[in-house]
Amino acid sequence: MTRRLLPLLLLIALSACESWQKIPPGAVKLSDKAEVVTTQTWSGQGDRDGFLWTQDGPGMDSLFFHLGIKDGKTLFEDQDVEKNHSFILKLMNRQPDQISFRFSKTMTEWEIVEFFTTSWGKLAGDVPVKVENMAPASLDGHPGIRFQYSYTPKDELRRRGFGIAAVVDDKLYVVHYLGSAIYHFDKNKAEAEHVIASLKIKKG
Amino acid sequence: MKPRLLLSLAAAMLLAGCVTHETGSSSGIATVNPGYRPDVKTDEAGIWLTADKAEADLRDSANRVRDPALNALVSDMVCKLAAEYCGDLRPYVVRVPHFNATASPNGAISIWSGLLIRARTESELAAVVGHEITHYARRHTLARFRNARENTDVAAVLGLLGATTGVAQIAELPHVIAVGNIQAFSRDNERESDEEGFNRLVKAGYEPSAAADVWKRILDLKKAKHEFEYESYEDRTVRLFVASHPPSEEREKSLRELAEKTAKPTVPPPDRLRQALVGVRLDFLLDEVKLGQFRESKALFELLLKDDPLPGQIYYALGELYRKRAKDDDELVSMSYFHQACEAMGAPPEAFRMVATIRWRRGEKELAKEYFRRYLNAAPDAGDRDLITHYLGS
Repeated sequence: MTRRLLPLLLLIALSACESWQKIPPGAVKLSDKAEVVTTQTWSGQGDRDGFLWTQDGPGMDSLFFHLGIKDGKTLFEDQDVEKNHSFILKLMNRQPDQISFRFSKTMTEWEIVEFFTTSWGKLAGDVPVKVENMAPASLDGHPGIRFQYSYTPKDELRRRGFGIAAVVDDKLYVVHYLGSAIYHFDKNKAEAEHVIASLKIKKG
Repeated sequence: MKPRLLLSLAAAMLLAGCVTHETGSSSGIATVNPGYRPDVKTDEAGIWLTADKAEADLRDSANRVRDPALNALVSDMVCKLAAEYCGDLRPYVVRVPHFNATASPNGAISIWSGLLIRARTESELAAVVGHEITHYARRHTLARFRNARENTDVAAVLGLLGATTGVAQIAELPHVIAVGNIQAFSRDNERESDEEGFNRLVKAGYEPSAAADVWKRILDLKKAKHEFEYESYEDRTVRLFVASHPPSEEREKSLRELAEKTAKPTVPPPDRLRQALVGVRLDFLLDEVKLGQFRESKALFELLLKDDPLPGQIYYALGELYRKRAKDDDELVSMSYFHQACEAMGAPPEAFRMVATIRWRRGEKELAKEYFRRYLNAAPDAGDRDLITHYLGS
């Protein structure tokens, strides 16, 4: 039985490591509940944290889709300290001195943006992410918030970005685009805006 | 060759290696002279070349703190401590939220923001910087480089000989011993820097007990972080074997003993640190919050609250810490801190916004609107003005 299960488990593990795919112009179904339309070709990759699209390479420009983050979940699974804490240390009642920044369905717009920038700054290596602007906005007609941000990661190449976030059915949807401040942000921003504006979220 | 003979040879060579280097003049490396630059044909020139490149990155880094008041203080303090090396050292303040400072062999000194919020006085900051200046003056980077090279060379040869025995553990043993030697050498360098850094501190007219005080604080924060497991954590032999620095307890004790033998300064030491941090400290505190280390940050903020001239910033940071943890009654605790921040000196405008946000969520809309207005009064050019106006109009 174990011998039969092993190849199946390996197959499941391998399929979890998705490779880059070409995203041709047209309608793209991201999940059962979300789809977008693009007029340009992108390269795309998906994992447990969402989808990443890019035109000139993920270090240069990136369009991220975080779709349907549930109440109490982190933006990135790796940032869930309690979940990733060693089972043995848990048994020994040794708790890490580390907070997991979690989404709450009762968060206000500031807190959602702050949740996003804190998680993103942690991902980039504990660098400060500065929010430059926040204003009411909608995502597929759902009330939310639009924000602009910037940060400089360890590679010293400043990034600029913008995003729209909304809570739909108690779940968080954040779509954001970023690129090198010196060139790529402006280069692909219009198309990113177009894709974000086309997002359709199916309720229920 | 017989394994027993090999082992004897290995032991003899390693023992010889152990006494090759000591700190200070016996290491064979002279203290640097003012205005020194290494000969281009030496290994030291290569180290400097790498350090020069790293310094160029540091100089242009986006995370370098360019606040004039803070940089003026740091430059003046470095000159006081460095004395004859004043013209050779170039300090940089960087926004990295951990307790540290570094000295490069070429004279670049980096002072991290996490250190700046943990030092409570200029003397405490000077104690750490004086320690770093000693690393520069005693050419510790070069000494460590040569020590590591010699130890790993010996380990490579002995490891190869050991491999001929066919026993993996015998082949590995020289490498393990080499790591121990290298780290022990590093710890000796640190002890030397503690002692000479202390002398610089005293000579520059700073408070002698500050060196021990800063280590006491770091120890207290470590204990808060590791809570009940702390003792076993620090006592682990493996950690001590591979540690690059002596244990904090040892450092505090040695520095306390030195301070007790030293006369207090006749003139009160300068203490310009808090004033110099006014323009940047809130950012540093919030960087600390974003590290997400609840117990250590809470212990730090509570310590700072004892005599801080701008408690509004600390209350706000504490409120953010609880709000981000978001467990059980954390929201109520955070609101209490935000309220205290609003009424205290140094309150950031965001404290008003956070009170308003939490009140709004709890359905207390009129009270929330009052705090939104106070926020806009305090920050009329806020980037989220449109959003606030939207709330006020709803």
